[in-house]
Amino acid sequence: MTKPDQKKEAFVFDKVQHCYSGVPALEKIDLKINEGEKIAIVGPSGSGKTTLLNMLNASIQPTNGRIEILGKDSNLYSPKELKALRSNISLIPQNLALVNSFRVWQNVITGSIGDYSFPKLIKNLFAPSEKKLLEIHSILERVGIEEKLYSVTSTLSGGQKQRVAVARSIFQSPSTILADEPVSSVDPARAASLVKILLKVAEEEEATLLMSLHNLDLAIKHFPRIIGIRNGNIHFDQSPDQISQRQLEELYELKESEILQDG
Amino acid sequence: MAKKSINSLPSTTVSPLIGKRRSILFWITLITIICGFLIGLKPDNLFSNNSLKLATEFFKASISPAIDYENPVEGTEPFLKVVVESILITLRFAILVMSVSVPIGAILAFLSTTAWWPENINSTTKKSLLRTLHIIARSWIAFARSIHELIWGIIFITAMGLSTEAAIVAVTIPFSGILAKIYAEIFEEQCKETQSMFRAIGAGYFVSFLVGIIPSALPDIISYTFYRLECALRAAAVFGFVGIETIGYKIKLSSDEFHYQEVWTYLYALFLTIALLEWWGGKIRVSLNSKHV
Repeated sequence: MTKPDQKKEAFVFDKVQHCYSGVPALEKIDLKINEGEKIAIVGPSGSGKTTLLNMLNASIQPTNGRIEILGKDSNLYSPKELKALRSNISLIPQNLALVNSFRVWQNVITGSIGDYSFPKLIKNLFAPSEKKLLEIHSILERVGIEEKLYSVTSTLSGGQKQRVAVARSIFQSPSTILADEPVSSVDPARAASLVKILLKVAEEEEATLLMSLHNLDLAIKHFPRIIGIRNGNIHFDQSPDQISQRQLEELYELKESEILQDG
Repeated sequence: MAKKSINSLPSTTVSPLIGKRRSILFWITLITIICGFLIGLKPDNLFSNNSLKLATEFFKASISPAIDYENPVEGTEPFLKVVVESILITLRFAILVMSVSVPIGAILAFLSTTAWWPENINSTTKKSLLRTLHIIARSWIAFARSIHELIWGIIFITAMGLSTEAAIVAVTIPFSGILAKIYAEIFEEQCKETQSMFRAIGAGYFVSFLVGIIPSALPDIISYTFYRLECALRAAAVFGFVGIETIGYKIKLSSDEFHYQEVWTYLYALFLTIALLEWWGGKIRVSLNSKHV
């Protein structure tokens, strides 16, 4: 029986496998993620982290096995239900996917693109209400770039652009935030700052946060649960204090074919 | 460190770059000579006494373009006013052509590109409809632009009589086809990551395309549209030679009377207009590109 204070399962992976043109990217993954959890996904390049994240908003369906998203098989969502589900899951991709020619407030507004009808989107993008602008301004205050409200996005620094992407995510009011290596191209200080902002936002919004990272230190320092993926398999799924040095070394160990021979 | 010698590189039977380039150059030269021979080219025609004399007179006139008629007739409007008016008529013609061609080209580009298509189309009816529209749009674009505007012009002027309307329709057909082809290519060349992200957060296909692709494609689209406006201006001038009263008509009249200084005034006026358009287009391009860093 479920206890009243027990968190519900947001995502359940049951022997999930996914192949690209016959080549497996994920192999028989079993995983349970509860609502409100904060999880870092670590692993070497090509290990299957992005594929896993893309399965959480049903952008990718499993080749074998099944995924339950909010209690329902991901394959059984109708197009309308899928649209509603996706508009409730935000995504911060590695390249941030901002529209560079838009002003910051316009990029933030695109966070709710899944909820708007076409005329409403056009209205909000080109003639937003005062209320909307004030809402965006207060979101930008939360991420510390409120003075950039009217700036053209291409004129911002890399760190500021990341904050715009986070603001866009907040504007979406998601129940889950997916972040795919959002800090891979910034210095350690900015990376840590962004991770802290995302964790704070997820805490305040009571959202589930899944972030793929290359930086193990960040993952260990800030996340209560870390999933290590290697060659499409879950190598470990533990809290940072339970992960051994050996497990971490094995996670990033190069295969023999990947090792460059010297001389 | 031991010095490398050429013998340490992997062996090859021919020099990979020089060998291939020579062969391509040889074939291009051969094909050019054969084409010239088959078409009946006689280069000495260029250097006959009469053509050399005409060419000399023509180019000599370029240093002293006319500011008045070479053979003034009483009661006619001032020459420079006629030049300005003919430029304005040509510009109006080109703007009208582009005003019709751009929306038609944009619609055809949207129908002919797969950039906004769903990744997986489950419904057979939807798939068939999209494919049919795609094939019809592509076929029309290929047909429209495979025939030059002058040939369309001859067809329409023969069918509808000599009128500006017929000429505009004639230029619009190939221009909308060319614009559609280039717009579609520009859409397909854009990075799809923003569009995919919008799809992943619940946006529809059309909206994802509109917000994820169009803004990044806009500088290239505007740049190409400006280039086509220049082409439309030139096409308008050419249509003057078949009787439409653009600047080409005036050039033909002056040329028929060997008034080369007048011809050069018209040519300089046309050049100046195109240069101004190029400058204006350049300014817009720079301003848009600065937003797309």
